[in-house]
Amino acid sequence: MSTRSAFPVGLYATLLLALCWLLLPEMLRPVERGLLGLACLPQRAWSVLTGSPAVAGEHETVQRARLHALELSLRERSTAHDIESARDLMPSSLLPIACSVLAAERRGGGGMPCELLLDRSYRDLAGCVDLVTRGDELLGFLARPGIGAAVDDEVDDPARVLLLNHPEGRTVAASMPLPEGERLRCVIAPAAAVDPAPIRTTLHDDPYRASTLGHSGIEVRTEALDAAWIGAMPAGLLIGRTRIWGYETGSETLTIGLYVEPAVDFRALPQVVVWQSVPGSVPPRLLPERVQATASPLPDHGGGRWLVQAAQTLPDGAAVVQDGVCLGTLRSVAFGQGLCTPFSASRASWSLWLLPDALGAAPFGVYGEVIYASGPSAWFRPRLEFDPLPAAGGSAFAFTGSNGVDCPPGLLIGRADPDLARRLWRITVPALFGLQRVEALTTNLSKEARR
Amino acid sequence: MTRWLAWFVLAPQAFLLCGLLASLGLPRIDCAAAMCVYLALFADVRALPGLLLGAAVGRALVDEAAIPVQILVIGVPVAVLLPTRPLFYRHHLWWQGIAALACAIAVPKLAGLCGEWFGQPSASSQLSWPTVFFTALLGPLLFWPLSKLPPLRSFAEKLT
Repeated sequence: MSTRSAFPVGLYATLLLALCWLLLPEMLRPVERGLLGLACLPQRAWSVLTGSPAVAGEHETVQRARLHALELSLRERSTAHDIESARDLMPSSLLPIACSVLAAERRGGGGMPCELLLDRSYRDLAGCVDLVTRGDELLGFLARPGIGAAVDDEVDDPARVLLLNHPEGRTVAASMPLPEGERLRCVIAPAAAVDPAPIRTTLHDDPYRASTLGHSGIEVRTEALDAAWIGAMPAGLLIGRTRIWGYETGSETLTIGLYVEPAVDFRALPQVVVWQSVPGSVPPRLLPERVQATASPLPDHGGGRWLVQAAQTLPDGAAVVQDGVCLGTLRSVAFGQGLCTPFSASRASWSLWLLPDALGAAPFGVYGEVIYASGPSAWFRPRLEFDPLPAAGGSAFAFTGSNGVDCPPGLLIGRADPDLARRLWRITVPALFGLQRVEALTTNLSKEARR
Repeated sequence: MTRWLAWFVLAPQAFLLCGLLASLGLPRIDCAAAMCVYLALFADVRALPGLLLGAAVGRALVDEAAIPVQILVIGVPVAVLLPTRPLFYRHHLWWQGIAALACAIAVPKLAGLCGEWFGQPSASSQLSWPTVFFTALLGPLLFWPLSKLPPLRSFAEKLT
């Protein structure tokens, strides 16, 4: 007994298998789906025996109308903000198209995501120049299907944006103002994943001045080159602010590298703008399919998870929506079931899109995670390096941001009130009890497009 | 075969039962910690991989992280406690209580660490001292009747 206890080979092999499973999750994903699906069957039978979900009444109809008005307001105000400030900088022949960001993927410079997946296909955006902006900020460039980073993409796949920190991204001519009134010109390029910021500067026209810049935070903007073709870079688009990286030597910093912190958090981008050069109708958005399902609460006490049952297989990460409000995202298991973790119980990172109550304030994105929840309230901690709290001030409605292809931006989550002392958002979500009729959102994409 | 079927049916439901009892106002017990103690001190060592998988499936029902993370969260305390099994030969309640206490602290801590390392954070990583207390207090008391019932009875190590 003692020998087996001292060296349990089977147990150690299982732990090793678990580590391998974590390294290659997709390989053993069907096994996991099957095991969890079987484990959910008794609960499914129990939920069938205990009743049927309530049917929507007049109250829900009114609520949906209010919700629709809120979503419309979010889109209109975001689009106005994201387009208007770039109009003076962009050529007048270009027409703006606002696109929602479905997902921010792949690790690029500074360890930040470097690709965005849009809610319109390459075919829809075929007549657009490759510039992608938001407000007066340059974010990156549209990829071309079958070329470079989008080599596996088809023309009907969601369009991919290569951000400025993408390893295969374009370099851009830029400049920054110097205290003496002159400008320091340089080229910006993607930084390495381990670098302190997503973008680096290189080929400075005055390397001595670049190495003796006294402080960070100087605005870096695009510089127009002499070439005047249709895809030429307009001057004056904001790229970010400088960040000096080097050794601290008392009051000064011995510069090793001059980096650029982007003006926006790439993880918290719910919407971007592409520019149409060939006039045409604005292509429709890629709308997700709504699968009818029922959700029964699992008695797990702590988090309030839901067992979602539908007539078809649901994808991982699909948003679960009840009366227009996003409950959370689900983990797909076998037999048309899914385990939904509500927003307040989830500790995974979320990208949110906040619509401030103040009518003049522009909607903005935040990225972070819930750190604590009590009943229907969840305390959400945004990543502080991009903290918009001081500028925002008042309360807001919280919507989903770019959280994956099956959880599109613009789904209401709840009411957000800033907790300025702790630099958190307190987000209140609707409290639900008993069996619910819900919808699971799923985007009809191929496996390759989802990669 | 029957015992394995019973284990894979009942072990996941035990996690939901603990949650149900807690929501009815009874003291909350960390089911994963209780299972750790059973696996480490009482279960047949040869059956540990299968038992661990059943327990991990159960914890994945009530927790955001995937099954492999749950295997590590439950399996690591078992692997640490298992060599000390000869010390627990007489199965004194004191020792079982101490083991349950250690597991009730280790399980949320491991859930936090694994969540951070493997990018699968979950709400279960928050340590709840009342849960630790009741797990240490009630866990050993529950083992005695449960170990006399199937399927735990059939997996208990036969002492020679």
